[in-house]
Amino acid sequence: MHFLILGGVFLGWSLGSNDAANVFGTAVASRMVRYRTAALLIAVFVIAGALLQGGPGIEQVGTLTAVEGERSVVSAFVACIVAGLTVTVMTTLKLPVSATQALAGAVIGTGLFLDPPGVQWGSFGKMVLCWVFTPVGGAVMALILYPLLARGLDAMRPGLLARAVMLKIAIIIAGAYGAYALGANNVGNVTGPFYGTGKWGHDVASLALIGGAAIALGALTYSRNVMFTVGSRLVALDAFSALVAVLAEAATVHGFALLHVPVSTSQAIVGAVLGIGLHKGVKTINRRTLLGIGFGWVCTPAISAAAGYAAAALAAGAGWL
Amino acid sequence: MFWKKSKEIETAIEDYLDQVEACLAAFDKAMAAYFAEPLGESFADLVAETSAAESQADRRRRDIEAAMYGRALIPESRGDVLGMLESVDLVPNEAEDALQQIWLQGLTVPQTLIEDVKRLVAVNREAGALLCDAARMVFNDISQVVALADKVSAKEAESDGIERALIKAVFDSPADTAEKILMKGMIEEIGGISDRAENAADRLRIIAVKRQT
Repeated sequence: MHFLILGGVFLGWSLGSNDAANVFGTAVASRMVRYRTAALLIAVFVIAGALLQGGPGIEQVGTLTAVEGERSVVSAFVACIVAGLTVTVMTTLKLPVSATQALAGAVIGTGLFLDPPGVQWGSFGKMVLCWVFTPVGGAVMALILYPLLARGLDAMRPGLLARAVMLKIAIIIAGAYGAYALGANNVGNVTGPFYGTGKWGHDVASLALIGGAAIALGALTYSRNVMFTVGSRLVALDAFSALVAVLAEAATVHGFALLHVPVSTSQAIVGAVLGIGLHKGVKTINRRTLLGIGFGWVCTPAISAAAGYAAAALAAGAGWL
Repeated sequence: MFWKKSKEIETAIEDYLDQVEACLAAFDKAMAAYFAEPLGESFADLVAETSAAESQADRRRRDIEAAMYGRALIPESRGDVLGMLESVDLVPNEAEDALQQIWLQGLTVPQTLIEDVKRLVAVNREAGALLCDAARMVFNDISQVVALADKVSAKEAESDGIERALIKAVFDSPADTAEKILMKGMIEEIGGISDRAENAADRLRIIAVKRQT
């Protein structure tokens, strides 16, 4: 049954290939950093974040349901596959999707089929609250960081090239920090469902290492295209704003890692970009962006919960559960 | 590593701006020689010296461009630096063109207009020098660029005034029409130095304003 954790590895791989863009997309798409270098930095810092601060997030996701015994490993596997497929299908349909929200929905869905009273609605409610506060947190962090960093940069009165070099170094550091925060925060999505199940029991360190490595693998093997696509969207910002966006996103995601709640890096960075817009006095907020965020809060977990419930029913029908 | 590359480019740009100033200084000396002895040997030598300085500036600019494509700077900075070099480079080009026009067409300025043409040359030379100062500040203290760019614009406005007065005086003079047209061309060519300087200064102004965080 140990191989069932491959479900989590699959989810981690897809998460790594997608979310790597949120931390190093700007630097790679603008060719400040080579893709290979960025992917290596992400891999190292994601694993570091997962190992050093990812444990509580794993426990948080692991306690969403009270399914126990042999069935718990299979249900975790089902939840991860459902979440991975939800992410893949919705990405194909070009709908905004967060692996975090897909996974939480899938875990709740399988839990509802297997042990409805065991579903921990309190924990789930805390997660949903944190999702709502993710873009808000990103925006607030950007609103704080932008004037602060701008003042610091202006005080140094750098020339054009010195400024470019400073921003380049800062963007690399911010990207590494973002990767660390991604590992610390999102590893819970990847191997959290296996916490408290079968072989893995409460071995948080192993789950963190496997989850971190899975995300790193996604960044190393399949993140190039997303990095260039998402990165070019962010590059439309000037280099300083891009730095603030990545830093605000990283700080927000890291903050939620400290609260032990996995959140979406994509929504954090969208919030950060909105915050920069607000700071610069942009009055209009793209309704489509807001709808996308709202869709992530409501529809993604709802769809993946329904799919999780159906998949658990199918697995039970086949005698696996 | 990044600092070293950036320093190398800064030094190369500094050398390029020195070369632009050398070209403008040669233009100034050539015009002084022209006023002393129109179309004399000394003027011819200094026209050649200005052309050589302009060619040298071109070579330095191309070296910087080649170096910058190989360096991993932030693209917005790369685009700005390359655009800046392209626009600054039009200033020594214009100075060289003005001298070539005078030399090739064998133009002589009527005695009554010499003082005004001298003033026109001085103002345009100052506009070029101020542009070089502004360009240096882009790499040293970007907060001073806008003020220097404003000074370039003021020189261009002053040059426009002198230019218009000179053209009016040329066409009021008894010279024949062909001569008047050639003289007008020469005045516009000299005044073109501050026009190009102002265009380049506008570009520097945008570079500076873009970086006001």
